[in-house]
Amino acid sequence: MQFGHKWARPSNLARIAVVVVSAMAMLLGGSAGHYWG
Amino acid sequence: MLALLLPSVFATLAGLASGGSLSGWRRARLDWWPLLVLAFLAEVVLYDPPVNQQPWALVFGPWIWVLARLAMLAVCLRNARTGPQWSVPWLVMFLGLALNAVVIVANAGHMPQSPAAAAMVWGDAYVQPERYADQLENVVWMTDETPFAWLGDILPEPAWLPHPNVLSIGDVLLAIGVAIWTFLITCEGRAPARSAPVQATHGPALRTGDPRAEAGA
Repeated sequence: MQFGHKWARPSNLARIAVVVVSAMAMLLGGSAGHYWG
Repeated sequence: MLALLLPSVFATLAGLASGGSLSGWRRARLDWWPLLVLAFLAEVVLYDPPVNQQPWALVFGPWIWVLARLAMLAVCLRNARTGPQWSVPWLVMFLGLALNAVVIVANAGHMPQSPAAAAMVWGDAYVQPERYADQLENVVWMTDETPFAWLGDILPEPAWLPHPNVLSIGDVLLAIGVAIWTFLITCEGRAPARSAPVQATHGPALRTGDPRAEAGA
């Protein structure tokens, strides 16, 4: 598979996914409401 | 939920508008992120069926939640100091988490929620004494005797937002901290030839917590 940008390689996308998932976990898990239910 | 996410979305867009790129996100360093995700997953499992109706969960659940929050605090602290300087966004996140933790511990593992604020978001019919009874809930109704009530859920989100909720001061700080972090790591995706490093733009105190990224690695 060919990607247009070098940062869009699968390994880089995985790194970006870690940032996105971690930010979501921080926001939703760190906030004290029951946002995930 | 959306009110917590929107600041980060707008901050990322602002970073892109100021010449940044999502390529900065791949260079962003986030130490102990598996612990962060694990703590969040523990909360999700704990407060949803079938676990939230188990007798052991009713007894130990609030304190397991406190442990998960301590884990998140540890992640913040770890990322706030990965180099010679402190990271402002991670310190803001830490402060938000810490304020929430203080009120939660003081209320035996529950976040007190203002009935008045809840009524503004979900209507008067929502505010029933047994609303948060019979199963494990991380929220209890605020009373006159609630310790640290000002740190509880007292800020109603606008009712026109999708899935509105009631926020605490700690929640707001947390959202601001994550937004600053996403802005800075987006800005760090700038092409070196077009702009100066983020450190020069925002001063030495504003770090994302990644010395390698700040060095333009």
